[in-house]
Amino acid sequence: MTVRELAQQLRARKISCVELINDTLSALKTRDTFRSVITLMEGSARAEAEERDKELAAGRDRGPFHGIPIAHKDLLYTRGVPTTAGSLLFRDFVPTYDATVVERFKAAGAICVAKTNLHELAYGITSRNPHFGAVLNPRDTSRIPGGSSGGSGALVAAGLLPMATGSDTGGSIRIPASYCGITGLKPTYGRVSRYGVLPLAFSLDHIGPMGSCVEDCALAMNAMADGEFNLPALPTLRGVRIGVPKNFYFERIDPEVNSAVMRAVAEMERQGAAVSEIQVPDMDAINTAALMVQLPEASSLYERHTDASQFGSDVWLLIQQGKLIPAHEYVNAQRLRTLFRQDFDALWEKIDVLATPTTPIVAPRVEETTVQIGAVRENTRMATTRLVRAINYLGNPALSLPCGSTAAGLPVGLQLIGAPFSEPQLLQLGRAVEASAA
Amino acid sequence: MPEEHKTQQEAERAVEELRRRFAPLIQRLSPEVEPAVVFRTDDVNNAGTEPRPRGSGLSPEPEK
Repeated sequence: MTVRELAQQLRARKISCVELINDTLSALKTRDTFRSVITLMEGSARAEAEERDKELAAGRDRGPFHGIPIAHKDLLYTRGVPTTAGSLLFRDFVPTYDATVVERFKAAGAICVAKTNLHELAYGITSRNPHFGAVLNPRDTSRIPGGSSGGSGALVAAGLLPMATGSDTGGSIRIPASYCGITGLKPTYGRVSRYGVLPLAFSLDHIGPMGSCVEDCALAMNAMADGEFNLPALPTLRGVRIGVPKNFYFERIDPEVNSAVMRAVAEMERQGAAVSEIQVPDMDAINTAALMVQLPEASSLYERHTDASQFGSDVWLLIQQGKLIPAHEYVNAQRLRTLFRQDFDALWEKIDVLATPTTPIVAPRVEETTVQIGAVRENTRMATTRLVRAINYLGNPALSLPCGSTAAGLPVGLQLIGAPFSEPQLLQLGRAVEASAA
Repeated sequence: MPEEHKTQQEAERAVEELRRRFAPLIQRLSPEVEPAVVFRTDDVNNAGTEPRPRGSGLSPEPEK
């Protein structure tokens, strides 16, 4: 059920907050076979549910999230509740305050029932966590859910929760959204507070919602940030300019992904959008520069940790890699950001939204470290992040939503990228695409 | 994320390759190009919330 549907049931007294939370906790305990959860927050969730029921009875309604169960990725600080970041380093860490996002969801009436599993330190895309278990994809448990927000993606995809938070440094919201068949938004850099969120790479980290539908993500953004994100549904897409990249984004992608994304584009055109092909900047170069920023920023956090046994081998080696980037090259990568941003911003004179696949492939099998795409065999991680990473470096908002599935029934993600602070319009367009796919 | 590397040596080679790809990009940089600034700071976004100490809360070091 969506946030809106649950909210209606609560207002109609068809179910109480306590009953909803009890049902949710029970489902998490018995049906989460995907290793999505690190910490269940039973006590606080039940207590908050009682409070929310009392408030509704007294006529105090906090809005759409009043009494709604949600989960936070386990790198968002939760006061008095362990926040592990999926790492041995933080296994016993109990924050003394809430992250701003956690605080804002509480103020909106949401009830956090769980902290979700993730790729260790949010530094990877498989969510195969060596310390807290490998998260499985509810759509097909032989496949990865994507990451690093894999637990959040799996919980929502399994229908166990309508909403969970994620963080996105190189695609970590949009990748699990694509692989699990849900909706995820990476907002504009800085639009959602990072306060109280364990960083991975300071200048690339974004916090955002992961939900079962676009409207739920819009409602969540209303709770997470200032502004109105849930605009009325568009009667037509007339006047909306959609750009379809001529270069980069449709090169080396699974033909079934290509078909599903192009069907979504055709549907937007049918609804009145002006669709045009457009040349995008050199995204390979932007991806390269983004890595030159990400690697040293992440390594700077863990420089004094010298015991490799405290890390998964993949994360340990990434941290060592970051130490090999000289300072002047890191600074130059940040300087290039200015120019690449100017290049990319020029797109918004011609179009409103760039429509691309989120990932060039559907969810890979757990054991697949390489994937065959056309004539090319490519590392799974590189393929998975290829179409999303640059947008973290550029800072633009990007929405991933399902746009169909392959013959095997695996979901395909559509990525809609917009100008800075265009989240309300992206979400509005996403709703139109979603409605046509329903 | 970079590729999954099995050994330190392979990881080092991957960084060398990354730096090799990066090197020609700096030809675009003239001295007046400064690092990009963020669109909006957390402090702006948090306007109106209670002031709280930052410090170790944002560091990877767990608070004691």
